[in-house]
Amino acid sequence: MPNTAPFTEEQRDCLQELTNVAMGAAGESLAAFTKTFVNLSIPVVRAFHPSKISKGLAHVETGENVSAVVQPFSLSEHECFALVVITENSFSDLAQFTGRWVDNETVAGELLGDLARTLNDTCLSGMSEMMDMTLDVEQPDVIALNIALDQLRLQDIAGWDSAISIEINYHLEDHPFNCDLLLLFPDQALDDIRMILDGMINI
Amino acid sequence: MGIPLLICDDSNMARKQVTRSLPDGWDVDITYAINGVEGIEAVRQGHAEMLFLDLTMPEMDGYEVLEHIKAEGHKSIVIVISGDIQPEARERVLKLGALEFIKKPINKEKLENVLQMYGLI
Repeated sequence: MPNTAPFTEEQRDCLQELTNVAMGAAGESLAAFTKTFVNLSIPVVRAFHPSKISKGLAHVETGENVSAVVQPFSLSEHECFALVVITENSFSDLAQFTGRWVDNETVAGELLGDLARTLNDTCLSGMSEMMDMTLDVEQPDVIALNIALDQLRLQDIAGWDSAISIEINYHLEDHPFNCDLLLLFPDQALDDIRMILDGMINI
Repeated sequence: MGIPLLICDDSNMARKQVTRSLPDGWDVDITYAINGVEGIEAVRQGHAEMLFLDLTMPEMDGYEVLEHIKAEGHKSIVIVISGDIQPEARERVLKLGALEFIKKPINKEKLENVLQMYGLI
């Protein structure tokens, strides 16, 4: 079992179910983007040290190199991050779906940016709506192309004491495409999130 | 004795939401299952004249539960309640024998509409 220390079992369950609904909507966006059926997984809530970001990315731990794009967002004034990580084999799928040839880093970056926006816009707006929190999403920024997963670092969270993450995996049926969306929340957001979850649990 | 109703969802929160969304005064005898394996077992034991079924679950997902129900010839009336809102997810479960598909989050109005539409209440 992953370490979900900052939450009670009820809070974790509530957060997981909220995510489940939000990721379902994002899955529909991804299905429209790729014209392929998306296999959804069960979201996983974890707490880990910010320097160990690969710990939050179990679903893309395949031994393949990865590429990553980060999209900062603020949730009721708390600075959070949505990190989208895809395995190297996913690129050929992405290229095929979008009819583009990934022959340079610019095209790779554009595809990653499009993918991040497709997933994040729907997922984040769904979550913020259900949690009744304000949302402001910034532009995506490519932070890694074709590197080993354990080399992946996110400088933005390096100063955090600990990170709370939700791992959301998307697979495309009958394709190698494998993508993790990792939502990262700082400690400072925890009290607000817990209060909102408790409010939903006690309806 | 009320109608045997099985609510199968891995989330405690979701099971509570479904329970709260049931029509007032509806005479049902509720059984809960927290994954597909428990779900199909409860179906076999006759606890599911009606089944409210989630799709994304550990151990066995909702699609597999529907396949088992079909293969074993159970007569359960199945309404899928899921966050997987891809049009193809709906098509697949209807093809596997589900009566209807309701998008999460569930509420009283959505559930009553569906139950009324099929003359189940």
